[in-house]
Amino acid sequence: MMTDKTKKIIKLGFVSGLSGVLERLANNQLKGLKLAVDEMNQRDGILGRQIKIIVKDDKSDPRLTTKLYQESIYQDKVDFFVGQLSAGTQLAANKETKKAKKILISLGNTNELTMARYFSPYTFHQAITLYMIAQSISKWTYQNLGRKWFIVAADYEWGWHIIEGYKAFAKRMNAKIVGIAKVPFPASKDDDYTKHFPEILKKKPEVLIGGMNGSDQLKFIREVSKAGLKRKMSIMNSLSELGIIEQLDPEDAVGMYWGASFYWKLQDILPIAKKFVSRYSEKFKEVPSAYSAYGYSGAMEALNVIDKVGKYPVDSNKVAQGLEGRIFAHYKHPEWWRPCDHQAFQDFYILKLKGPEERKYKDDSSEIIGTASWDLDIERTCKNLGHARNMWGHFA
Amino acid sequence: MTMRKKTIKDSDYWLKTINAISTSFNLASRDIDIILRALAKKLVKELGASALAIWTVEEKTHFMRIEESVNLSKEYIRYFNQTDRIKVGQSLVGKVMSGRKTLYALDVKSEKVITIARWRDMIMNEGFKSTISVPMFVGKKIVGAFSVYYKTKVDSIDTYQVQFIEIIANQIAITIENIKAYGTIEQYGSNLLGQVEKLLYLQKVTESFSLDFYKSMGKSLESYADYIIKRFNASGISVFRLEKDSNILKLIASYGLSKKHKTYLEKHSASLESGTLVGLAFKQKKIETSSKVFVDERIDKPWRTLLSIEGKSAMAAFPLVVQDEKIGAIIVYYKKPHIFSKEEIGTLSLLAQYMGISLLNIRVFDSLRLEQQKMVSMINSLHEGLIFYDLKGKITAFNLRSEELLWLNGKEIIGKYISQKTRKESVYWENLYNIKNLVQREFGIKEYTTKGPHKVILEITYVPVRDGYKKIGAMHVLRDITREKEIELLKSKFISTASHQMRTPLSGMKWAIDILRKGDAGDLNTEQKELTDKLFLTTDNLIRLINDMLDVTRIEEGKTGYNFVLGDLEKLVEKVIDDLNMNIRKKEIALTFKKQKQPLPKIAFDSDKLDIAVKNVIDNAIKYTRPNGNVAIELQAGKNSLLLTIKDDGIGIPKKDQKFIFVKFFRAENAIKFQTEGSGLGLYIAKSIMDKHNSIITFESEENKGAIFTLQFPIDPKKMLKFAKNTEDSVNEAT
Repeated sequence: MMTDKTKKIIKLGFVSGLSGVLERLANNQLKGLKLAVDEMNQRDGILGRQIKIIVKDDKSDPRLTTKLYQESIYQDKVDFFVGQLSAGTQLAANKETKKAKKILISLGNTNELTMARYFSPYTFHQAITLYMIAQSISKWTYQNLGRKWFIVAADYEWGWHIIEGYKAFAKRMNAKIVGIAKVPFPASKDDDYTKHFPEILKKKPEVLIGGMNGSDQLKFIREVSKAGLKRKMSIMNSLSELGIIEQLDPEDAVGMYWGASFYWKLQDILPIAKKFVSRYSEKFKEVPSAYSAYGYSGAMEALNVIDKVGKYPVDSNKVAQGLEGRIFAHYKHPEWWRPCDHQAFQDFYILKLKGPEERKYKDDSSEIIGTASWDLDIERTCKNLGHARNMWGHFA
Repeated sequence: MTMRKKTIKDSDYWLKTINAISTSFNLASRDIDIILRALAKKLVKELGASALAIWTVEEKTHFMRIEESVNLSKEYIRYFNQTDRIKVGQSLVGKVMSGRKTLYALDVKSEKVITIARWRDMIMNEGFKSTISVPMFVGKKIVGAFSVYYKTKVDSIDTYQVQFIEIIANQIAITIENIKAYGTIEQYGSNLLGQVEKLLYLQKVTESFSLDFYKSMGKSLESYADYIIKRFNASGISVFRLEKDSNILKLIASYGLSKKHKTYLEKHSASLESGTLVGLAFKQKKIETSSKVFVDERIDKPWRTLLSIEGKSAMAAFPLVVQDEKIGAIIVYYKKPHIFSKEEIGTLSLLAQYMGISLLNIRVFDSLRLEQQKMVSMINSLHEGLIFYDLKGKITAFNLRSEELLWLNGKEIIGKYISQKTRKESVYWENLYNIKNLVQREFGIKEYTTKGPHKVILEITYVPVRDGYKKIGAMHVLRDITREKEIELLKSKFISTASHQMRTPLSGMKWAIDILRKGDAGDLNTEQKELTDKLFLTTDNLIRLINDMLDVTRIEEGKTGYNFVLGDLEKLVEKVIDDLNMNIRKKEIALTFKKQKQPLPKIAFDSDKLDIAVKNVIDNAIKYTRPNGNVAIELQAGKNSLLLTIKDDGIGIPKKDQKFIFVKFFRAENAIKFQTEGSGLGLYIAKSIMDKHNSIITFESEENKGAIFTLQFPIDPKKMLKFAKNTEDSVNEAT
């Protein structure tokens, strides 16, 4: 019996930028995914099969992504995919899985994947979009910090999308954006940020919003702190990750805010988060990041629904139909797959960075200070995304 | 600067100062900002202070925040309130709160009590050299901290000064609490007024409910929805009613829902089994709320999707329960995710109750209307005309058949009182008036021939209408007997004509046969004599039959007018016996006539007609009594009537035939065998005549033992008079 059981497998493909600039984030995704697969395999797998992860590193290069997906689909006979991080690789992966009618749960923050022109009925976007991040941050900032904002963002798609999101909210809610500074990506010069400070000080915003990530974000926070801007205004970083936060000097970081789709201290207020954090920490001896959570949740969703559909080979149509409109909660407050665009509607959390004197142990960098509970306004409408004909879903 | 060095001797000074400053805490101001500003002036004067701050603690986060301040920069406040937030226990102010004691830094730059460098920097950047923070107590409870900042360095501070600031801090704390309490009271008062206002509005809404619900449910729902939308920021409402047959909740009204949404709800009526929120609320008879419908598994997937398309994010479902009976449910929708307050649930429940009652009323109303419709259809489909009157005589119903019979439009008739005035409107209205004013007893029947070009003979029955034992009106049942009358008339005419036509030749035949049998036309032998005798008898019977038939026709046509005269019945009976004497003798019947010795009361009768009736009964007794049999006649006065009994010991009437004995042309089986001749009209005629005299004919009989016929005549003059008058009316009407 054991022999038969080990012979029967179902293949989960994971492709992401495991090396290169996004290495740490991608590896966190993989850890989350591994936790989910381990849990399911311990429960006898799905469809009477053990789940096997086929891992590939695309180095965040879309051309490599395409190649790896073709290889996974046609040679490795992967049954479904959970992965991806950068916007470009997500679109490349999406193109291949669409052609092959394979389920893909995509884990990177992007605005484009759910748009009708790129859309694959077999792709589901687990990660929060940049537009949703901007709406969540805006909502909380507007209510708690002030309505007069200055935005500094990286001058490429990621930053542009963030700016668009803030603009949309400001227009809807009558918040005032007193200035926008676009900073070269990546910020290489010493004064890439500081040269905008006089204008920022002149405009006297109540909140300075940062729209960049990675090393750019580190640079932004350090420069802002050094210039004493946080004494004059509140500083809000749209999205960050544990890996970035850990690199900051607590004295620089203190008093700044950041947004995250998950923070491990959610365990203090939510049982499902506690369960996830404790299992993850036990397995990997570290706290999970937001991308770890995406990896876990994305894999769990795919595995649960494939199992529920009960067919092998995986019936992608039936699985997609099962996912559309489904409610799920694997690590935080309940989420919902919107049927028209397959976006996971989800809460977003606002954190405040702690000073050195407040940090009691490792990883104790931040405190959850607010939750932007999602509503329909958090994301662009189905019509805006080009899904007017598929309001009920693509398999309804 | 050196703070004023007051010694113990100066304690009076500080007390006076406190007293003076206390005037700042005038409750009337109720504004902590004003108090602080007034206070600051005095403190600056007395202590050389530059700025003041009141710190409080946020309950949820335990972060401290500067609640009020004087002369602090916006950046300073923002920094501690929004950027670098400090929790109780940290830094100088945090330690004051956690330690419940006063702390000061006479030299901000160097005092170790300020533990965090960046906070020290912030204070110094603001230009402060010294600062003192004291806890603010209300009783034993710490409610915050009061900080005094000095831009000029303070060299020393004595106990009096500290106590002075502490007392001021506590006064501020108490004042703040008072202001809060006042604010609470004010808020409470305002809430109370608000509640009264809401209740009044609610009353209006519910009134409009009960008033308008029957006319237009949609309109009523509109005012309801308006209220909900204004009060609770709702965006739509659906009302469902339980369809008992199919056990589904059917959408019956909605407000603020798109056509698509309504169509969906109509098509997918909420099944009680499928776990929709509305079904659940109905099933469990309790309110169900969903703060965010998209993540609520109780709502099925397609509906969740539709709600997302329609932009409805939250809902509350209320069962409509009246007297413990579940009759429907209502959903209130919200555009945004929604937290339901107790007040909201309470108000919505109240409205749901009102709506439940209204729905129940509608159901009862509908059911009554249905019953009424059924009744109307039934009445309209009747072959008889029906006219209903209420107790005041107003016509409340007039069915289709009545319209046809009387050539009147029901719509013009219903609701009207029939009077002399309406009578004049047309000959048809006159008919209605005449029918309405017919003198009739309850369940009495009268005939009426309509006037006007469309003549109809109606048999009109007067029926009382009762609700239980209580009379609530009356009704006339109109039966068209024109055709029956025509047939009867034709029949009578035929019989009359035929009889007349036959009687003459038969009389001729009888005369001729009589001549023959008597030998006037020549002698007959015995056989011939027997034959002619038989022939004579047969012809005679035939003539008698024809006479009977003519009598019947005349009686039925009413051609024979009755002439009622008070007279002596005894004489009439004697005359009849005398007339029948030949038959009595022929059969050798022993006939006795027993009368009372004292004179009998006179009664009103038509002697010619009653003669026929009495003769028919006595003749029957003779006919059906065997030769040598007995016939006993007795006339006596009873309590209210004269009783004429004719008793014989003849063949009797078989039990099975007794019920038909007064039916036209009926002859009992034994009678036919016993006496082949006979028309079967004698008793029918007798009964008809007795009826016209308001008298009764009854009998008792046993086959082969004989029969007793009793003719009972009223002797009460009132009855007789009435009888006589009615008879005349009837005759008039019939003609």
